[in-house]
Amino acid sequence: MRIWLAALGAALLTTAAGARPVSWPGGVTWMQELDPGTGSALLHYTPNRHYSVGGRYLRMREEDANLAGAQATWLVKRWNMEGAQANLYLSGLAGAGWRDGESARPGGFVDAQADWENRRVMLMGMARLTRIDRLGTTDMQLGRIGWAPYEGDYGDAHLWLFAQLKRDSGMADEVQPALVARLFYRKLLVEAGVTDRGGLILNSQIRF
Amino acid sequence: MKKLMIALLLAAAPVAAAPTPELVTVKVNGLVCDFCARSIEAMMKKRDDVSGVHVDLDKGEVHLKLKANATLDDATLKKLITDSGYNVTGVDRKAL
Repeated sequence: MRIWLAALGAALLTTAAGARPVSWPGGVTWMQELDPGTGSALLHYTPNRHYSVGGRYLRMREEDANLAGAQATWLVKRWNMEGAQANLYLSGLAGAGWRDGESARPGGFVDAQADWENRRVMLMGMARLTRIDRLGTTDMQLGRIGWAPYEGDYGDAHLWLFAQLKRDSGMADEVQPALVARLFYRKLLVEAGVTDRGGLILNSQIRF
Repeated sequence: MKKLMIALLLAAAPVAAAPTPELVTVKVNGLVCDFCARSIEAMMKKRDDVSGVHVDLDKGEVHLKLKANATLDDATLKKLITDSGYNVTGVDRKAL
């Protein structure tokens, strides 16, 4: 019950586009995210099942600002249950941030992510605090609730439909509800969605 | 008579058992996502002793076909599944 409540609470706080920011030992993952406020690309390597390390470039589109650096993600806890799984992750990025045409300054972010899923329902949540010297501090929260219209077998293409709510203090339109469809097949995951104002969401992930 | 004696000798001679591959069924908790369960396949395919991997999301089971004469002890198996991100709740083995 406590796990349910923790996962639900995290999901209500926020939501994450990425699935499994820590892969299997020796695994490499490419993740790309795009929405009206941000675009990002992350390549990470998982040395062991507890954490991953990699590099990320993040573009804050409204502010014409950029952040790039090394990212580490720690799988704090995984709950494997009969017919369900929940995860808690902490991530940090340290690097440099800059506004277009200006010099780079130290910057980074910290974030927490949580998810719970069974084969038909998924709850996800994420909160991130980003700081770039001289450009300031922003906070972002994202939450999702998802539903799988069918239970595919292993090897099938799988579909999830999400209702998403994102709040980003760095954007003029701070709160953005959205609908997102996720399709994955084997090691490739693609998401496409639209915000309430017609903004496009395109995310993808591939594992090697 | 000579043929009969040869036949009896052959029948009585010890016959080396042909190597039999083993099918291992691993009951796993947390097995709900195909995309995530790819980790199991990736981990198992690195091994020389595993010839086939199948994941049954409905039953929460991983089926491994071992190569003939190969052995994969429970401790190693549990570590592989744990490293893949899951918990083993049971292991069943049978010769094919």
